[in-house]
Order: sequence, then structure tokens, then C-alpha cells
Amino acid sequence: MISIPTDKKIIDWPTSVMWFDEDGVLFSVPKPGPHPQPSREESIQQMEKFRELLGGKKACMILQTDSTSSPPKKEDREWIAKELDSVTKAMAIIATSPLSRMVANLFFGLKPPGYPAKFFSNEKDAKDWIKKYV
Amino acid sequence: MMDAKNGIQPDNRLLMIQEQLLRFTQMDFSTTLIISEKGDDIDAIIVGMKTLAEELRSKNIQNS
Repeated sequence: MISIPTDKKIIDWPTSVMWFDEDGVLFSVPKPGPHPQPSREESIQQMEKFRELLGGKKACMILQTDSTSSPPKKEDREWIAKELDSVTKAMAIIATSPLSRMVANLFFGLKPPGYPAKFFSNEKDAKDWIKKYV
Repeated sequence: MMDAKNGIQPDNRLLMIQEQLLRFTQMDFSTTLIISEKGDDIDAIIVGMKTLAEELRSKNIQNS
């Protein structure tokens, strides 16, 4: 599990909190509670804001999954995969439950990403791996 | 019997999985299992089956 730092600027997102570490790696931790899947329109708006946040560049990301996450709808998978490709340099995923690990595995299995992506069980290993892509 | 369409709660998820697999062997992908709030290994299997059914349903439509 990733600890939310007290010495970094925390970015509040509808379903998660995010921050950049000293190396520019973006961390994301889900907010508690079930989150309804956003509509395509809401997703487009969030992606626009996300691109602004990244300053138009691709980022290395360490994401902690939502333990009760549900898979995206089939019709949304391709769009999400394409959008992620456009903003991601490398992605480390810390799966917090067998369900969320399966959801992420299915997503990456059905739409293999164009960037390096790997599962980890802790923040330190994730950070050690992603450093080489910064 | 135990699916989202009929609104029955996932009391016995392993039994639900067995029944769903039987339906799959009959090429019946019309019913959907419920994912519980546990997020455990059984839920992981269920989400895999849901996705499998979704993909097979889509292939069936393309081929028909």
C-alpha cells in the first residue's frame, strides 16, 4: 500500500489523490468507496485536465488499484487504452486485491499497452523499477 | 437462478460459477454473475468469466 505523503502537493481527483515525487514520478491512490464508472463525456473531460496536469508530456506513473474496481466496459476499453498510451511513459501497478489484479491483467491482456507496465506488491519495488524510465 | 438478471445475491459464489460454466458449454452467455464487495480470488474468477462471456458474445455477433 502506498502512503500519502505530507510534504508533497496533493492533487485531488474525483476518484483518487495524486502527487509527483522528487523524480517527477506521478503517484495515484484511489479514494475509498465504490466509484461509479464515468460516462465517456466525463472521461474526456478528465483526460483533458490530466493532460494539463502533465503539461502535455508523458509521465511515469505508480498506481495503486481500487480493491473493488470493476473492469471498463468493452466499448470503452479501446478508447481508455489509446488515451493511456498518449500520456504514459511507464506504469507500475500495485494491486491491492485479487479482483483488482485480475481487472488490470484483463485490461492489459486484451489491449496490450505501448509502454512498459508491471505489477508490484509494494511501493519501493515499483519505484526501483520505474526509475529507469524517468 | 442465481444471476444479476434475477437479482439474487451472491450467497454461494462457487455454485454460481459452476452453473455459469454449464451455461457457457451451451454457448449461453446471456446471464451475468454478481461481483461481491470482497474483491477476493473468487471475485477475480467471476470478473474473468464476465469478460470472457463479453468477448465470446461479441465474437458470436460478428460471426452471425
